[in-house]
Amino acid sequence: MIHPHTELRYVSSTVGHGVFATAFIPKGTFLWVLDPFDRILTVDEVRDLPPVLKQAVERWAYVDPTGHFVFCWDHGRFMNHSCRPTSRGIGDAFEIAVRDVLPGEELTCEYGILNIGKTFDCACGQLGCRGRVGPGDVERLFPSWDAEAEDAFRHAASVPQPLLPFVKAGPRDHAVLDALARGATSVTLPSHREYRREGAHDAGEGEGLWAIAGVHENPQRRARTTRADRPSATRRRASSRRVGAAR
Amino acid sequence: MIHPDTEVRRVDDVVGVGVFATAFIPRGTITWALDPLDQVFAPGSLDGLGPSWEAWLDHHTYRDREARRILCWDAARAMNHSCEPTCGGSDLGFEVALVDIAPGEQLTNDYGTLHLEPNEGFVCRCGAPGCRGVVAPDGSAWERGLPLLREALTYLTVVPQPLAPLVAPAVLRAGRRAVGLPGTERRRRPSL
Repeated sequence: MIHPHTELRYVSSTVGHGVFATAFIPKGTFLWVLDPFDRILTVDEVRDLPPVLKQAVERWAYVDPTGHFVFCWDHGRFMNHSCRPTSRGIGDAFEIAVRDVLPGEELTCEYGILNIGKTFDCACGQLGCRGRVGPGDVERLFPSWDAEAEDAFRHAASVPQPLLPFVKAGPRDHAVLDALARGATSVTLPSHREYRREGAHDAGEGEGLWAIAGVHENPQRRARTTRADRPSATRRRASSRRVGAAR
Repeated sequence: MIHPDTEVRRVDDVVGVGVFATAFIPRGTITWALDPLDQVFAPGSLDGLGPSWEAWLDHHTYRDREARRILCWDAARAMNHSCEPTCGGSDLGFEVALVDIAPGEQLTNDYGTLHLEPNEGFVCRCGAPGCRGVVAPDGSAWERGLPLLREALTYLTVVPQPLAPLVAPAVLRAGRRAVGLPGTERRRRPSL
């Protein structure tokens, strides 16, 4: 569930929609939590969907470390990537604001941890934009991402947390909830690195989430898509390259 | 899933958002279909959620005739009430346009047909000439809407149906029968 003080707004034809703050949200606030109505779909369930719904899942779901598609029920699924995001992930169920978010500011997250199926050209325009965002980035960058999350968590117990009643906490999330209940400011949080799905790799154009979720039953299709991802291949627009992964 | 030629727009601070047509949607068009991404909860299955979810459930879900809670995955859950709605038929597993819907017009439902609980009535501000003033649990809502719904369903086969892949033919046939039409359009034998 996305923070109540947000709304969906149209950004541009390249980016599509985005999630924007409608009020001031202080650092340390959970901007998104996993809740019981977010769909956790198996690969088989997604494969059996009618094509138009399959496209929706491919576009707006992300893949969790167990290879399931997570399809948010609300406009949380429209959250865009930024190389300097407003929130960092903690465990399976939380996105925490790593700085104060001003009214009208866009809420963004880091797609590098969402087991995206392929590298995409980033259009975030932030100072320090990586240019290309890929599944392997987390291996390089997790120390700074973890540090940001830990710094933000110091404020978590002292700011309003409207989303707390709605969390669906997994095994790795109970420590976070316990720390919060104790009012602890410093706690060892699950690392971003642990969110990476085993064997996640750049699957190339067209294969996307499916390869990450663990479906390789069509070797012919894989071969074709690998060729298409050569540097010489025409780059599609950023919008079509953002395979889902929106929270 | 809601018809593709629609978008969510802000109405005002009281109503919140609504669903608006972005293109002409002729009468008889399937405007919504219950699909596998919509979540259906049996009566009682959500009781363990706790009180913090009450307002949420009230806001985002509706009840079908078997008192199941339906949470639509897309903009369909943002459809507002009108006492003279442009869409109807939700209990059939799909909805159709009851009238021609012009671009910019809102897609609406009569919440009276959505099996409201006694505490879920509200003062209506839809502004329709036939506005009932108060929308309350309403056993006669289905019968009242039936003539328009039946009329609309006779156009099923003659207007474009982008949502057709999401509605099983058996569901369509059952829908037509439920409003008193033959299950399928009778084909006239060409006279030689």
